[in-house]
Amino acid sequence: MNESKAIAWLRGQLPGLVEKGVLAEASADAIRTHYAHQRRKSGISLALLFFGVLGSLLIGAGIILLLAHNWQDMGRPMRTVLSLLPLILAQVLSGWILWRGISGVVWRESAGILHSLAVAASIALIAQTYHMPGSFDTFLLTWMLLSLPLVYLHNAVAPLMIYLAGITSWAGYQQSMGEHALLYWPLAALAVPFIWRSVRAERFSPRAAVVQWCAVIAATCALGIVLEKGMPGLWIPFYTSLFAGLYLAGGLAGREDEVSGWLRPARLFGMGATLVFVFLLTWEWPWQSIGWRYLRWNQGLHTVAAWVDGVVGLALLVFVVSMLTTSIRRKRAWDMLLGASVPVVIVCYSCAASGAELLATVLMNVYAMVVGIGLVVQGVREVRLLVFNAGMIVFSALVVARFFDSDFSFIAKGLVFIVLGIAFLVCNIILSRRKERLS
Amino acid sequence: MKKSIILACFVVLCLAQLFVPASMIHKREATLRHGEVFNFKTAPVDPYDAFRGRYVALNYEQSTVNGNWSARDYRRGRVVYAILDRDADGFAQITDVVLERPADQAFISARVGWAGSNRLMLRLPFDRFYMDEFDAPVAERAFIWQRDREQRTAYARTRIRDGFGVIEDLIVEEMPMRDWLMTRENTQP
Repeated sequence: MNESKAIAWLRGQLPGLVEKGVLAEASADAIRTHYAHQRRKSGISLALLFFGVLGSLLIGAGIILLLAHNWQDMGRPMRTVLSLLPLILAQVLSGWILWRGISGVVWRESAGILHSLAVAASIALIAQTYHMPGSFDTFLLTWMLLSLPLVYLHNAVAPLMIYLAGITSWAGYQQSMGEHALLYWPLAALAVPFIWRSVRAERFSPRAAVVQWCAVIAATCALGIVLEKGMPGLWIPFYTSLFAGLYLAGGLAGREDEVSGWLRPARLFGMGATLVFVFLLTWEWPWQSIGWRYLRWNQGLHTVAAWVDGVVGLALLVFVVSMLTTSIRRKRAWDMLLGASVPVVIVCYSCAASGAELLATVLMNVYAMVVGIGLVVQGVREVRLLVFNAGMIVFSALVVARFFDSDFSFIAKGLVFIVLGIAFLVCNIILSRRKERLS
Repeated sequence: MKKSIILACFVVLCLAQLFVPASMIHKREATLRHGEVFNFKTAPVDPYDAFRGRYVALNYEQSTVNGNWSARDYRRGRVVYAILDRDADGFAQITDVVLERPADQAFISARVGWAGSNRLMLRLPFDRFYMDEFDAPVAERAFIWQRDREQRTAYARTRIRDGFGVIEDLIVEEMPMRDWLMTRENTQP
């Protein structure tokens, strides 16, 4: 149960406890006042944080846009001074916060954003003043490297978001220009200590959740972008390993029934992404023209980057295998259902690479069906609506998708839709009642 | 972490953040003051950069060099050195492109765009001329109009020093682009 639900539950219990004489009316009032105050305080802090971050973003973006106007009447010396001014002002603000030891999250986050954007504004205006060439990659890289320390110094999440978005955009730009983006991995590694420290400090806090959401989304985007793709289709086992690994790692963190899903990003995202991915792989197109028979040497391929693909793949495999073995040791049998996606996908990939694309597709369909049914069974046994519905969605989506692939009549298709809909409703009603009885 | 260490790290960061723009300024100012002038014929068009504002993108006739170029040596993105000279009209022309930094000739560092069997396309390090957000599109339209009707030439006046180039101004009809635009506004009905 999360905190707000727990408080609501406690407040609901108070009249009964007073009635039975377990608690004095005065004590019940004191408890009510205490939690009302706490809730108001956390609400106000969240609103302050939101508006502080938004305000800083708007001010920073506004400064960049004002400078982008190009005040060419001012002359070069004046514009040079002007280009350094936002940076110096932001440095003074950051310095004041660090000097005074201000620990307020709104101050730190806002100063971090402003300072980071001031670095961008400064470099951009100099580039504009001196008509520097359009090397957007160099601009992004310089900006990110000069802004990253702010994440650590201010202990702030917002500059981390800018950093992760920046290096991912840099990687995308590099790949789009036909270059490689190998530097992405060391750049990402520079942010890992902060992510690790934030999660370790307070694992299930909203702050740790935001940090983890940023990390998993950045990793998902970057994996596809940075891969050199020397061997077509490598993204299939790579992404499967990443998603399944996140799911398993999230499960090992524990407290599954107490903490809401969004506070456990690895688990929730890993599960959702694995299910969507497995479902996508039930079509035939991902398995076509992939594997070692279609290697693209000498077609603008960067050899070192292609080898690094192998290292990344190996690292992902080690990650997912270690998560799998730990899950097995801790007897988390249900986790194996999605954890098995990795060996299944590797077998399917080998089949497709050897020319048996149809076999790979069939195997994947069988596995997706097993996952769907398995999750439904798990949901019913453990009385967990989310898991049950996830299983039902996979199962139904699979049936519907295969149905549209085939030449069944509209009557047959319509009947299947109705049956699936009824199954959904009835099972959810039964499970909800069971859950109510249990709680 | 101790406050003194945090503050020390912060000071180092601030110095680095100031050093990067300052070194960008210094290198370009030195080139603009002491560099040799080369005029590159160009044709401006008007695109947009989210951070740096509006500019006229510059394409150069000189960026394509004829000759036999090995695709292995002159691979895309590689830094090469273009040897510079002037043609009969005084415009810059590239006489050769070499892989080693020349010792006693005027040259500009550039990157290989692509290498064909008998042509090499270079990415010259001055492909943008930033202008006021309202002037840039006017400049593009005016230039296209001028070029089509009267075949006027435009060129980028650059300063080059030790292979490093900076655009000094964009010249149309022997006038800086901004002055030329003002003249046009005054003379056109």
